[in-house]
Amino acid sequence: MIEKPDKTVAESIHNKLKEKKLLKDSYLSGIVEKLSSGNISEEEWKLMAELSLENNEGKGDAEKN
Amino acid sequence: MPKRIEKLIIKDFRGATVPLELDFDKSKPMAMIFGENGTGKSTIVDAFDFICNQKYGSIEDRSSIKKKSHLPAIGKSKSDISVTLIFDNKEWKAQHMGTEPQTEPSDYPTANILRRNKILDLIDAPANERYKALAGFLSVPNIEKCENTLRNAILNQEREYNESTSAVTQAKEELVNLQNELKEGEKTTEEWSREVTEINEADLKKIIKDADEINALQEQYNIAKQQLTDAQKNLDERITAETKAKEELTAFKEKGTSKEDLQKLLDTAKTYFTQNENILQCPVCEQNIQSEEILKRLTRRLEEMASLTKLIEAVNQASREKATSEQIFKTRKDDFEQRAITLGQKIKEIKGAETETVENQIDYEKLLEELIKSNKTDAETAKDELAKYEKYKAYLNAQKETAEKKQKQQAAVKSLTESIKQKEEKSKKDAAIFARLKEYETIVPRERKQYTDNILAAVSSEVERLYQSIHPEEGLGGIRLYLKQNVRGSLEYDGVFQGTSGIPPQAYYSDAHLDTLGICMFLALAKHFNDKNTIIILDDVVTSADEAHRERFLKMLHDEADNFCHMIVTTHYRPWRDFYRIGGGPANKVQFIDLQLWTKEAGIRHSKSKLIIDELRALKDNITVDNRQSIASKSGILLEGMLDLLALRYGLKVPRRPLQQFELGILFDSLLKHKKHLKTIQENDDETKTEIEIKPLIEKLENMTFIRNQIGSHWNPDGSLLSDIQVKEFAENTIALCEALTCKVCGNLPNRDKSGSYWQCQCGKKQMYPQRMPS
Repeated sequence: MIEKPDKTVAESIHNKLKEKKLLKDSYLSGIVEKLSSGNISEEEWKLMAELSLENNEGKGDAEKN
Repeated sequence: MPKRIEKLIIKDFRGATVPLELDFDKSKPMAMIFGENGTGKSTIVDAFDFICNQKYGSIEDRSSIKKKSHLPAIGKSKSDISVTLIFDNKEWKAQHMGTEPQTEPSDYPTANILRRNKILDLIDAPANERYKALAGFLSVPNIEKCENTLRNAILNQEREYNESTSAVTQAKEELVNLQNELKEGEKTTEEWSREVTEINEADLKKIIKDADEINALQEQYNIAKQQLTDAQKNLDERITAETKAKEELTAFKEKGTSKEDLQKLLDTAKTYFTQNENILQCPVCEQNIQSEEILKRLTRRLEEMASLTKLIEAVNQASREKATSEQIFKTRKDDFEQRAITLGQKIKEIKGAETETVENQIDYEKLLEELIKSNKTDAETAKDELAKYEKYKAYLNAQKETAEKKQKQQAAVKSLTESIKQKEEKSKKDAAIFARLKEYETIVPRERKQYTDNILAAVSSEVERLYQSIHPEEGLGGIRLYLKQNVRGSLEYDGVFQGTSGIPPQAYYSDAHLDTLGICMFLALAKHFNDKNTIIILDDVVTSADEAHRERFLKMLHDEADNFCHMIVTTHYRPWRDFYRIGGGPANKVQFIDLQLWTKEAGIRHSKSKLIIDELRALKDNITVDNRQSIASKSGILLEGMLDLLALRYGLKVPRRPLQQFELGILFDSLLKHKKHLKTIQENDDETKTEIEIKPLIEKLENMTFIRNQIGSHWNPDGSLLSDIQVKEFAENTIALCEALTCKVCGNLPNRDKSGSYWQCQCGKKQMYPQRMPS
């Protein structure tokens, strides 16, 4: 019916996360698929955040503060 | 060529008690299914919903019935249902498998369906219901699912962070409590804990080790000393025992009973007296004896002789035991002295490293002497040194106690500070994760909202454009769709009413205006998300409308139909269908399907509607006595319709009538001054143009209107006098006028004024002049 609005939004989220370097590279490649299929659990969100910090990805507000 | 529906086959589904096959015209973007109520329009639309969307169609929202039970045709079961769709040369089949409808194969087209009752959901429902009605377009359920898990992850992380923070506080409090317990409160906890942890643990260990070693050596010394004392005592006892045994032996010997010869003699005598009883005279001295008495005395004396042997053995035994005790004593003594030396050396070694006052200084030689001699009663020479050593030993044990205490404190403080450090690290990490998740939260919902806002902005603009094409210059429109702030799934809209903006249209607009607004919203959204694989279905969405609005609405609909692969419109509103039959709409771009009355036995029946002009073309060449009235009548209806459209198009003057119904004479009169200006130009396939003057065609027909009246409308004897040729000519001239005015490509009477100097048809191939009649 429509050109997969979930995927469209997933792609724009991916672009923002990439632009702000808030995600580990290995996660960036699969995030669109995971978001557009609704397959990110609470634990995985936490893991993504944790890994992005371990690798010192991005300098989000968290670190600035 | 856009993808088009070719065929729909409905079996045992809803009203299709008999299998229904509907063929669609692939050359036409729109199909209009006309049928009065109860003829099966909803069944057809529901069948599209079933196969394209796996939904139950119009009964989906009816909570009072069991949907699955009422899906099959009367007397049929769910398993009998099948809907087959042929679309773009591919075929799909839907059946009710298990608990849900299933369509196979995949990649089937989808159908966006707007039903009459859904218009109300779009327009007048609460904002959340409106959102639900358009959720298929606006919602991103999987993103929202991820958003929910993100939100939960943030809540959990916040809780975890709070817990780790309070764990840090708790650990710090424990450290303060320990400091207070140890009465170390004069310093800050930080200073104190740092000092405690910085104490050299090796020094503490050495103090404890030295004290332990001295104590152990002292213990060994004490044991050795005791063992020596015991050995001494034992030796003394053995010496005494030997002396005594010797004394007893000497005394015994002095009795003279210790000669061996005598012992033998007595032994021989005893044997003699034993063997010779009742001897009365001594065999040696020959004196009278009592042998019995002598035997007793001999036995006693020989027993005394045996005691000597025992005494000798006792002396020997005592001597052996003394020798053993002497050996043990020597060993114990050596051991004791070695222990004493080891202890003394250790004391010297440890004490030598100490800074000590003069009075506490120990003369180690003297001390050693004392230690060694201390087992002797005359050991008095180094008593002072021993006292100093005892004092030192007490000091050493006190030092050990302090060191152990410090060691325990240090362990406790280290454990707590390590715990605080770990908890602080965890708390810091938890805070960073929490902040990172919050950053995600600023992106995910924002992008979702941005997406929806972008759609709504684009759609609002399109709704406005569509709406203005139907309601130009009416002071309406300015439609703005937007999500309600801070409320999930809530779609608001407002508009303009007579110059006032921001008003809710449902409060001021008429029902008809709201209907068209709902349709515009739906079409704008469907267009925004159109993927060229989607069928648009408008199910009975238009009922009544005045002519001007109806024409503009149809014009908008046809313009928009070209954006989709196929548009299906159902209606029970007959004027709408008839409007096409006289050329009011681009009939050549529409496939007309008429549904006939439904019966259980026959099911849904249909026929293809013909335009009146097509009917006339077919009839006029086969004129008979039976159909001449029909030909005259249809010609009159078509002619009236065409002239009425011209009058409307140019705003020609007609007499005021209550119901706006005008017969041929009045319509011809309205054209009297204007027909000379009328002409049309048709663009042909070979790019040539055919120009036609309308005036001669009208004038021919003006002189033939009596044929319609006399044959087509009334019983009149004069009508019988008119020939079939005259009737046929009336039909042919009517057809000629109709063909001259309508486009041969799209079938539409020119109704667009884009150029400013002429009207043009829907496809642009037909032009009609002038654009305005000269005054």
